[in-house]
Amino acid sequence: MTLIPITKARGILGDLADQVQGNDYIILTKGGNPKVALVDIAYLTRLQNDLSKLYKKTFITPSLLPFTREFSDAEVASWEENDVL
Amino acid sequence: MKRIFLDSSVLFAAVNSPTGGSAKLFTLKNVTLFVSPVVLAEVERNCRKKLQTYHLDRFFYLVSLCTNLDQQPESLHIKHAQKVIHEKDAVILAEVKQSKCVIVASLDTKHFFTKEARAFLKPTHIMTPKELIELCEK
Repeated sequence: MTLIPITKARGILGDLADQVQGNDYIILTKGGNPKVALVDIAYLTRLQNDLSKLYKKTFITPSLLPFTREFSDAEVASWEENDVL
Repeated sequence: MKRIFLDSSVLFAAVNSPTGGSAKLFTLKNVTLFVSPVVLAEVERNCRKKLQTYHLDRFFYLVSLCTNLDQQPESLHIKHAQKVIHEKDAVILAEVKQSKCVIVASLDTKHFFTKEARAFLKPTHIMTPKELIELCEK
């Protein structure tokens, strides 16, 4: 990952686009803060596909939902305590 | 191979914390970890609600290491379980009974580690992940 201010990137955008390959990406900053990223289009597409697969996959079915419940924060905290080795 | 049923508390804790006893269960040899469809639905529901996206990824990964039981909740079992445990936990207790596993791993010591629940589950033993790890590493 490389950080470059947008002001510097403006003149060399074509070169930066050529540099971005595979999982490497460039973050463009504005006022010192990350603003946008230059990413390989294949990488972005793969990320989007993976995310969409992740969200499509589910064990939750309408018939099982009534048998499930939402955990309270207190019980999750007590489980964490009991889980310490 | 020991057949171990993971209740919702253990699977959720394993997803939430990779350093706890629940997560370590997934590294044990000579055990087969079982989960039921209700446990999967319940844990997934809470992962989506309470945890981050990467936790959901971890949830699916851990589930891929388990054997999914082909069983549906049975009202008769649940009704019996309600007599010995808090209503909110009766479904999971009934699921354990139905699974015929040798051991059930749970972190809910308050509700599952009672004399009544143990008697109901017999011959299945109820243990925390820590106890189970100690047993397997003996």
